[in-house]
Amino acid sequence: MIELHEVAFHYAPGAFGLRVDEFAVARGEAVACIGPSGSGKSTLIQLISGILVPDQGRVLLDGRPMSSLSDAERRARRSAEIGFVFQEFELLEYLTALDNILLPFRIGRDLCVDREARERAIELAEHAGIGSHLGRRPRRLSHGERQRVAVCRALVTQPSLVIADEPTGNLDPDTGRAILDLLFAQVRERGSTLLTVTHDHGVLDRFDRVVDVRDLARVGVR
Amino acid sequence: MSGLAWLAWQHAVYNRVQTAILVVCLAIPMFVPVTSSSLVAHYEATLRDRAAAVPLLAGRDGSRFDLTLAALWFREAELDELSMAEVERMRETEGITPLPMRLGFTARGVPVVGVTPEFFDLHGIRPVRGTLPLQLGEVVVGADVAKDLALDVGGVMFSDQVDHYDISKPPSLAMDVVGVLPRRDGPEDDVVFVGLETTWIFEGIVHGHAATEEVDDAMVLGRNEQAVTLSGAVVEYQRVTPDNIESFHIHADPSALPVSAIVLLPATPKAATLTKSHWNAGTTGVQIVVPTEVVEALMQSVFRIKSLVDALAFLLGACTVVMTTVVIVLSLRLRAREIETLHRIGCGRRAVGWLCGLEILAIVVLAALVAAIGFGLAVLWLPDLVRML
Repeated sequence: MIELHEVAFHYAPGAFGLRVDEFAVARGEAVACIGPSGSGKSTLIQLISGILVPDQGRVLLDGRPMSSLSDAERRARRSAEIGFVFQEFELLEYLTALDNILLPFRIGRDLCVDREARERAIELAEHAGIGSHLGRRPRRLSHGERQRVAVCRALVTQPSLVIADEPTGNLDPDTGRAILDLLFAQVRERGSTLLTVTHDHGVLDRFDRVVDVRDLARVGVR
Repeated sequence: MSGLAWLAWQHAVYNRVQTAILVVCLAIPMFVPVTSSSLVAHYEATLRDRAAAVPLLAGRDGSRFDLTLAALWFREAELDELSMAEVERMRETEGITPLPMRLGFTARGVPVVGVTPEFFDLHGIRPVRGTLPLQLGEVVVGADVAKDLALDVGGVMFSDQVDHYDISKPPSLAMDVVGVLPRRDGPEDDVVFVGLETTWIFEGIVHGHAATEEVDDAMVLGRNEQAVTLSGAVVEYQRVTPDNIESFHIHADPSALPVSAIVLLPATPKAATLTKSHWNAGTTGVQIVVPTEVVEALMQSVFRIKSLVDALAFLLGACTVVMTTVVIVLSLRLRAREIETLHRIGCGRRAVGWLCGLEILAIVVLAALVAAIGFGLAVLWLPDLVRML
């Protein structure tokens, strides 16, 4: 599903950089990436999702190279095949919960908000327990509810890969657990791959594999 | 693109107060110069048309602007009086037709204009109902006056007493409304017209009362073969009727009867030149002005003011553009995380640029729309606005 071969990346000459020799995640696998701040977790995620392009090496998604695509093609794959969940939820304040869930359809080049998308969004929201809050704007939702909306947004395009960057970092333990339950239930149901960055060691046993980025990648200044 | 437009619209609607403030701030510098130009153009055309209808205007020495504005637009002005003697002298000039006017009186607060019948022909004034004021004590009302005061043919309109504290001055005159003028979007809409002689009743120069034979002897102060002197306590008629109209008379020299201004209609350019040169010689106490020249001078002042308004509008516009740019830049900084999120989940940098551009475009388009609506309303009310000036 995800393959990185001899990948090297630097933000700028002389700036922070990352090198990964080999890294692979199988389809349907749930992998947790751990490591202290500055270990390269976010950079790794951005390389996998095509937000960053490696200076050398190859990034493959479902066997297809991500790193050799044009910016527009990478964006198209990102919006269609990858769902993102962020630590700070990153919902748009001016949209309702439903419109936030449907956001990938609004901005995706090959996607549009049709009846099917809307029904899927509502179904997801009901599974997430926020079916009655779809008309509310993020300001009127609790943190847990906002993250549920964010999870629904990540899953609404039925992506083959879900990348979650500290999804429970801003939540209390109970709410965090509930969010992970939701995330796992949805990705398992769809057979999606889950790549999660977390500092919460209490949840690691739920993942199929735990990767310490320090073991995986070499970071430093070139 | 449609999704981005939808997002831009949602953002604008959610931040509707900020959007509205930006829209108004941008609409004002768009609205002001366009509207002021249109207003001035309309004002200029209206002034010139009106002035062109009156070739020459005579009045007592003084401000030519006051004279022109009072005689052509019936504006309140303290004009020194001419006399009918001067009217007659002008009439004697070959090729000159004088149309005397009397101004400065009001009825129910509305300016009363005393004119001769030829004045109505000059300006093409015809009543929409009734007739023109052909007899003493008759009044024809402008369209707006008729509407505002609910007056119509058959009604009665009282003149305002010349002086409430001077009992020697005549009381209000009850005038019969004999006609209503159509709306002309001009100064005629806001005034009433009477015959020139009726204005002399307001002043007490012309009056009517019971015949001396019918007056109580106690009211007769003196009597000889030429005249009968009556007491001031004899009540004068306050309304001209078919029964008493014959009793209205003057005691003064008819040539001394006052007029405020005289419209002069020269038959030829030569007659106009001769009349101007004679009366403007400096010893007559009379000035003859060419209204088109006065209006031209007036417009120069208006253009100077308009230039100032345009300069201020430009300055205002420049400040608004700078401020709007600052607001937009700050807004984009505040939205940096939102923009980053959109980029991460699949929105290109260019598309994010489009999103912001669409929002700015929506604000500019809305501002233009607001300015256009404002301009449309201003054009709709332009005649009223011009009359207010």
